[in-house]
Amino acid sequence: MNWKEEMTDALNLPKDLMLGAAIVTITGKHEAYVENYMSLVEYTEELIRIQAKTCKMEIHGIHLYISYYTNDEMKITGEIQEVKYC
Amino acid sequence: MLISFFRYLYGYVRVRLTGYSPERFLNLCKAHHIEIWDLENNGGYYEMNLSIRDFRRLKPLRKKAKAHLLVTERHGLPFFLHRYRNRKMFVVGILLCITFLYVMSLYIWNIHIEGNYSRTTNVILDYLESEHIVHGMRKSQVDCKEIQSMIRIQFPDIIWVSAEIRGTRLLIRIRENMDSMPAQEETDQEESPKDVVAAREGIITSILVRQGVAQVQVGDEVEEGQLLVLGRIDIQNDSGEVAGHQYTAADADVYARTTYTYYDEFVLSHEVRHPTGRKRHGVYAKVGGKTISLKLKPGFDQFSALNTEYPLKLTENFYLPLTFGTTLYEEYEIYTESYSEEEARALAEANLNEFLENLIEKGVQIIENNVKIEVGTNTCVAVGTLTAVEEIGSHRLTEILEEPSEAPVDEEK
Repeated sequence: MNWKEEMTDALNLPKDLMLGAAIVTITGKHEAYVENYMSLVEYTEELIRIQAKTCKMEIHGIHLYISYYTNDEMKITGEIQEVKYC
Repeated sequence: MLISFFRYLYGYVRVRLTGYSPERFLNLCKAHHIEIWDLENNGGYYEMNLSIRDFRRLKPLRKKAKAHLLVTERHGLPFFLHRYRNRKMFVVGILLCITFLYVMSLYIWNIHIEGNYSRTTNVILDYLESEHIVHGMRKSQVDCKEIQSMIRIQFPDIIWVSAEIRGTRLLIRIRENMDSMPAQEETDQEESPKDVVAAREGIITSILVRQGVAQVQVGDEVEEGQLLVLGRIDIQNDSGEVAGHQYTAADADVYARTTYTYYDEFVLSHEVRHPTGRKRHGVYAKVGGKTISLKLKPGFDQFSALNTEYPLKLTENFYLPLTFGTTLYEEYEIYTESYSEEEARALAEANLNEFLENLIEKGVQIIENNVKIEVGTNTCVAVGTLTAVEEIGSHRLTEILEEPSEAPVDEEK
């Protein structure tokens, strides 16, 4: 943990704002909400690769479908099999 | 739900995206705050939805990302209006229809009255009409409170009224007081002093006085109009002289034996109408007070005409000034026939029974029936007397006497 993380922890500040951490909310197996990301790197039916501020993440699945894609948030539906951070 | 409504309102397109790097195009869209929804990868190409306004801003992005866009579907109100731009009258018709419905909903179309038993709906409607509460009036002119009090004042036996406008209906609910009529009579009687006098001549069989001074006894013969119970009570002083009068509404049950003479005579020969079976129909219509007739001339010498009318009404009680009617003409022939003795007797008895029933309905008790029916050669005569017991008391205002002044009496002493 670096000093920035410690500060945020100590002051109880939201980490997505302070550290630029991405928020992924997965509801069940078929819905995922992703917030605080930078861009979409790759999108196919089986793989969605997203660039966040601090890391890249991959969502693997079948028939992936982006219900909406805005500046703040995106909603992914389809059968989600794997979420990977790299 | 709300979002999809606004998307429909502003219109959106579904575009097919192909090119070197579709992801770059999508990120450019995000950076320019262009909203994309229902993004789908179909192997070789992407499909997504965009609002029309955003689609117009895409041109520089397309160049930058070297993306090719193809509009596959168009949705929303702007496209709908564009497609039906040549059907303006259709829209005008819809608007006219809505206006018509709105204007029509400003009027009362039905007056519904419920809960009335002794007062018929027509009586109440006629009264409302005289107070300008009619079908087709403006709803805004109806004052329910006023209708309630108006009905309560006009019909004292209606003890509860509720008037309410529901949609274009005026609902009037009523409760009637079932035993208000006798109570009213009693209050009338107490108003002024009254005597009980004989309505018919007869012999008194029983007399029961509740108020007043009886002037006759059981067994007395009384004439019509004779005083039975006096509504004036004399007040006597110590020396037995009349010092004053007290007046009251005399009330008594006076029963008397009365006689009715009955006479009925009819000729045996009479005319009988025999329908020949030939019929003709006619049609007519009444508009306001005028009759527009499509009647066919019956073409018969002697005929009966039966009119059947069908008044046109919009709702339950809303009659239009238009009535349709049919007329049925039936031809008949007249023969002169003569009653046989049995037929004549039966007819005379039927007449007598009708007369007796009328009396019994009035509360008269028949105790003797001496009517004889004789059938002659040309006529049938029923004659005789009926003896009955009935209430003969009827009310008359009491004569108010001058009060004897006491002053002169004192002087004599």
